Amino acid sequence: MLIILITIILGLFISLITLPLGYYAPEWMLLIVIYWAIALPSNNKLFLAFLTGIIIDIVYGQVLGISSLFYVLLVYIILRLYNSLRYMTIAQQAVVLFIFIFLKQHLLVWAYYIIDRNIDYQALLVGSIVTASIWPLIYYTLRFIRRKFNIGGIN
Amino acid sequence: MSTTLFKHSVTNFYLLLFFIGLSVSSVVLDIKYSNSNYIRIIINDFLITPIQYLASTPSTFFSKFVEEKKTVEQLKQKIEELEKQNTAMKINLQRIDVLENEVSRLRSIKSQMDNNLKNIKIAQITQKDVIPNKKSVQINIGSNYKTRVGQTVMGVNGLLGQVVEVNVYSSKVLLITDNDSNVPAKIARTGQQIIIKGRSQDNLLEVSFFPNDSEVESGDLIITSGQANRFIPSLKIGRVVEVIRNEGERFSQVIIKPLEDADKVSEVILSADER
Repeated sequence: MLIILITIILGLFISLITLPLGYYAPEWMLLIVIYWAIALPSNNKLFLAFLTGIIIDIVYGQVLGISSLFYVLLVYIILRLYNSLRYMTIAQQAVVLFIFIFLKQHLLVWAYYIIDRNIDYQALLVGSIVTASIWPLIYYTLRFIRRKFNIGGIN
Repeated sequence: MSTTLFKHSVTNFYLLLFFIGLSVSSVVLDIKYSNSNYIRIIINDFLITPIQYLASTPSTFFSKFVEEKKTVEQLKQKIEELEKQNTAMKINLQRIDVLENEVSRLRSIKSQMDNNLKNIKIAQITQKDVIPNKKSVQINIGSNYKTRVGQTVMGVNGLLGQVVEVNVYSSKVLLITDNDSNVPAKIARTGQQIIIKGRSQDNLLEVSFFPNDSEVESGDLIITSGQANRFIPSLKIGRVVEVIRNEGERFSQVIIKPLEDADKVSEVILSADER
């Protein structure tokens, strides 16, 4: 669990470096949580997703809790589907994640519409493509870390 | 006997409902009581600011490293140059008595004219583009210097923006060149009240809804009007650079170039007592 928290802190570090890109930057922390949800599915990943969403909201100066809502939903779906996701190749996983994140961004825009605030729609759509294309990098890096520290026992 | 490696379903639907409820209530609370949100301030100061500092460390480390690699000769050259400047400065110092008198006289006039600007705070810009896809900067003072949301931020030459988020040791400033910022202003020559809107794409400003028959020409000075108690009155904003009259339409387009450029300044001024 400690290693997982450290990778999330590293993700925060990278997101702060890419902060000047705004919503065009990939959502590093979300991808890291999704990786751990696929690799080690358990209930505490929902809590992790919630925490990550709150941190992202504070970093981006959004309404507190708005992205944690959709992070939790997304991770819940991933936790339901982790069995079928594991059988896919990396490219297929990236495509499926793109569809999920694409839908998530639309839900975000819809939520922003309800609370009557503005958000850059085009940047969010481009951001979902960027996020999905960064998935192989996250996958191989975190798998290396998981095997190195032997998290999850059997490997 | 076969043992399953993973349970068939690990997810708890009620846990999901719990977290969704928590998120929604947090959204509602944040919208209703956005000014007294301590969670945001605590996480910002104890988790994000240190990591942000770490993230900006490599570039500062490299610049220091390069500076220390200067050779002795370069330093000697620099000393010579500085000595030259020193003698020139000494000559200039002789004139300072005269200037001092003049400054004190001018200051007394200024304090009578504008009581608002007695106490000022000087802050440094620590980072740019801190709010995603908005023109914004971060400054290094926060509620430890009694900064408030909505406070006017200006440079030496003119208005820069306003404070939108306050933490303990830092705050975020939305610049007037952002698309979302509107400044109540007036034309200094005619006194006409206008509203100025930012243009993020080219760092210029424009007047929204300027009637075709009103008088303006390029070179006019635009100052803040102090309407709606948003900004301190009579601060310089910029000069009109272009007026496009659209004959067929009701409004003409007026483009203003701001006098202060946030990319070029490193220190900003906040006034302590407005309102």
